[in-house]
Amino acid sequence: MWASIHTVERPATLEQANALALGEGATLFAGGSYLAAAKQEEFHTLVDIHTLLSCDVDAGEDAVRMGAGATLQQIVDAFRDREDVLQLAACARWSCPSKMVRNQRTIGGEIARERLDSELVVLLHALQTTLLVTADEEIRVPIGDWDGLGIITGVEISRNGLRSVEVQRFALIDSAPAFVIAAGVLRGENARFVAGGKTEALSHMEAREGAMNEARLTAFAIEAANYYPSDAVGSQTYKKAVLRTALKRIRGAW
Amino acid sequence: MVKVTFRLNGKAVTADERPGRSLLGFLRGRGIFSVKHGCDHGECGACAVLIDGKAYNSCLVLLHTLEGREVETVEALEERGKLHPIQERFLAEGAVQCGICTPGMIISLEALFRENGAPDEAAVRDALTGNLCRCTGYVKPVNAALSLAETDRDE
Repeated sequence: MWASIHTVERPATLEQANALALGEGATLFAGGSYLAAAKQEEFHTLVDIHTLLSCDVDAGEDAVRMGAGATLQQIVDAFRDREDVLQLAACARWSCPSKMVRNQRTIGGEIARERLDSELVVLLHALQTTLLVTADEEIRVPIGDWDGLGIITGVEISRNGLRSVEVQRFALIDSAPAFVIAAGVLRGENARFVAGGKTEALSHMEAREGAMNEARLTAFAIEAANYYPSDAVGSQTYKKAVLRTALKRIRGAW
Repeated sequence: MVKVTFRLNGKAVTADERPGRSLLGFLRGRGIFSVKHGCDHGECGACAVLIDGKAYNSCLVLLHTLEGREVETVEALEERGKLHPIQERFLAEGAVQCGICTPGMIISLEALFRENGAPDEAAVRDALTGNLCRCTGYVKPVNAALSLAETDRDE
């Protein structure tokens, strides 16, 4: 029982939903898996938008397009009989090992949650995903530039120039959340790495493929390691070494 | 209050409950005790149910989202005293120890078999990843599912 909830609003449009979500104690509700688990006391009004969002997954030749209401399991299922070149299904599984929760958790909610230890979120940043966001109007915004305002209605990942997508994760056991996640994307002549996991912030690096030498990877690992805590899993130095290993493995796969 | 009508174990029900009421709380309030208050966070799977044929953690499902949908619990699987094949295999394989996780596991496996009549071990283990069990080590539950898959494959 989520005792603090007094009202469930079911707006007819996203514009109405945006307005309602600005009210004190209101929060947007789509899949609900994070909200219902956390039962945060400060929320009194749920603005239910799950019927307003598309749940389509289109693994097209030029781009993968997904409605924000697509569940993580729908993403897994969409790549069941086709090659998961973009690692989307794999990352959906890793970021949410429970199939029951994957049936409920939406990609829009996963992005809005900004969970840095989600393999899927790290991957989407590495792929320079475009978000379709509705605030006063619908706009397209790169995922790294989204300011958190408005409602994510869709996600688009261009396949243009994609040559390689690799994700490395390190966890104490396979089913545990990863403490270090690294995603590397080679698109045309350009390479992009994103580091995440149990960290305070995602770290990014972009350069020409030819410039991604060991020194550069090491420098990135040193810089990114500043955001990882020293904790029971290991020291910051340990995590720097783990991240460097992940980056080298990704580079080695190209 | 939130009023919602859905089907529960084959019968239409109308719930008139406070917003924020979970399906888990509603079911146990109606005497359906196969669903357990394990963690209330969607981590243990002891509260698993089928909604439109797919497995969900009922502790994370708010009642207002169920309008027009079909909810099934383990109680719906047996027919006139005859156990469901998954239940029979669990007993035959000795896959039940304390029993707390068992209804949730059976629901997860029923969902799997509805989408794939002959799953392999990887699919069985993926289906059970959200069901935490401290007793069995998953050995016999997985064996029970695979033996049923083998039977379905042979038929």
